[in-house]
This record gives sequence, structure tokens and C-alpha cells, in this order.
Amino acid sequence: MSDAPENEPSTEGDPEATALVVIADHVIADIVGWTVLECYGVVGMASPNLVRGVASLLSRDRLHQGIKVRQREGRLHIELFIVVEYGLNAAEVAGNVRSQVLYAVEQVTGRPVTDLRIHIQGVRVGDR
Amino acid sequence: MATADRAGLSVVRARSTVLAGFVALEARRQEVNDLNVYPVPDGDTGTNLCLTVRSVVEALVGAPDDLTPAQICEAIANAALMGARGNSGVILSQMVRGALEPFAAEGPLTSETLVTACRRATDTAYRAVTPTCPLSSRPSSSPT
Repeated sequence: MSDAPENEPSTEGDPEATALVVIADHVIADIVGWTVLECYGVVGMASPNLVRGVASLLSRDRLHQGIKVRQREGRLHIELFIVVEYGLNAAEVAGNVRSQVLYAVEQVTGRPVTDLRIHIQGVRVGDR
Repeated sequence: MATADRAGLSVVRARSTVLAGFVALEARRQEVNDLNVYPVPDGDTGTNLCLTVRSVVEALVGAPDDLTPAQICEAIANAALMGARGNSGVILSQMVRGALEPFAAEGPLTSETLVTACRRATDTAYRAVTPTCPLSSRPSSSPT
């Protein structure tokens, strides 16, 4: 993932020392996935590809399939595919997802999200 | 005013009830804002709730006085849904929708109407929650 040389521990306290922390895309995707599931009105994540025109819910261990993370030159792009409960203000639910994801990712990784796209991929009507 | 209590839901009653709630909420808006720490501590929960309820107040103020109970419920639920702001607003709109179910029927409002309304509010609000922890379960409101 990174081609940085191994750092010597003796540089501790040296203001000139550089440390590189690399956060893998899938780690960010996991943070995003759990945050999204905690958002009110979100039923789950869906795959970007519709199966015969229908969005199917992804199981807990495959949440990352509904999240695209791209890090390039210090910029962080995230794309999400969600399913929302029917009967809610979907635009407002998406707005809440947006603020919760932006907050959670910056809180955990210390890096702001440059670009976030939310796709409402489906609506769930009735119970399960 | 015993006759008024036998009457079902009317626009006049709904208007004064919602307005009283709005005034009470507005008075403590800052207090609610200060409580807001989750999920994003931006301190706008009170403001969002006020904006959501205000949307219902405006719908009722603009509504004609002769609507049926079912039409009133429809108008309130719709105003709460479209006017929902923030997480708290969206949750409130669901609670409102659920709570209105027993009020849509013609006939007197009793204490049972209120009990049913509270139960429906809880059930409807929980329907849009995804359990993220396998141990967490939603409280059942069906047993008495």
C-alpha cells in the first residue's frame, strides 16, 4: 500500500521527523458502513449494480460492496448506495446520512471528506 | 363543554393543540439545542424540531375549517413529512404519522385513543430503525 521506508524509532521528538499514516480504503469503507446503518431511515446498503432493475440489500459482512472509497493526492472521495424506508422524507434522510458520514470519517481518521455522493438505490415498503 | 369532548377531531381543535405544542417547544428550543450531542454534536436538534412542528402549524392555519378527521390527519402527517428537518425532524414525522392513525376515525376521542396513539407512534418510529447490534431489539409495545 505504501512505499515509505521503515522509520527509525530514534527520531522521537524530532520536529523534522515525518510519519506517514496510511488508512486503507476498506477501513474507511467500514467506518462509513457502520455509520450509515446507524442513520435513522436507512434500511441498509445496496450494490451499485441493480439485479434485474431491483436493488437488493447487502448483508452485514458485505456492506463494503455498497461503498466506493477513493483516495488520491490527499483527497478523499466516497460514494454510497443506500436503501431507505418508504414513507420518510428521503431527501432529508440523505442529508442526515451526509452529515453523519462527514462527521464520523473526520472524527475517526482526522481527514475531511472531499467529495461525498449518496445514491438512494431503493426504497423498502413494509416489513422486511 | 361536554359536547365538545364528544366530538371527534376538528380543524379548530387540532390547530389549537398543535399551536400549544409549538409554543411550548419554541420556549425551550435552546435547552433542547444544548442537549444535542449525538450523532453529530451540531446543537440544532431544538431548531430542527421547531421547524418541523412549524410546518404542521402552517398547514393547519391554512386549512379550511370543515375537513374530516381523516383529512386533518392526512394534512398533518404530510406537513410533518415534507417539513421534517434533521434527524429529530424525520423521527418526529414518523411518530406523528403513527400517532394520528387512531384519530382518523370519526367519533369521540377517549383516553384509549391516546394510548393507541402513543403505541402507534412508537411502532412507526421504530420501523425505520435498522438494528446494528444483534442483541438490540426493539421494545414491543403490543402487550398491555
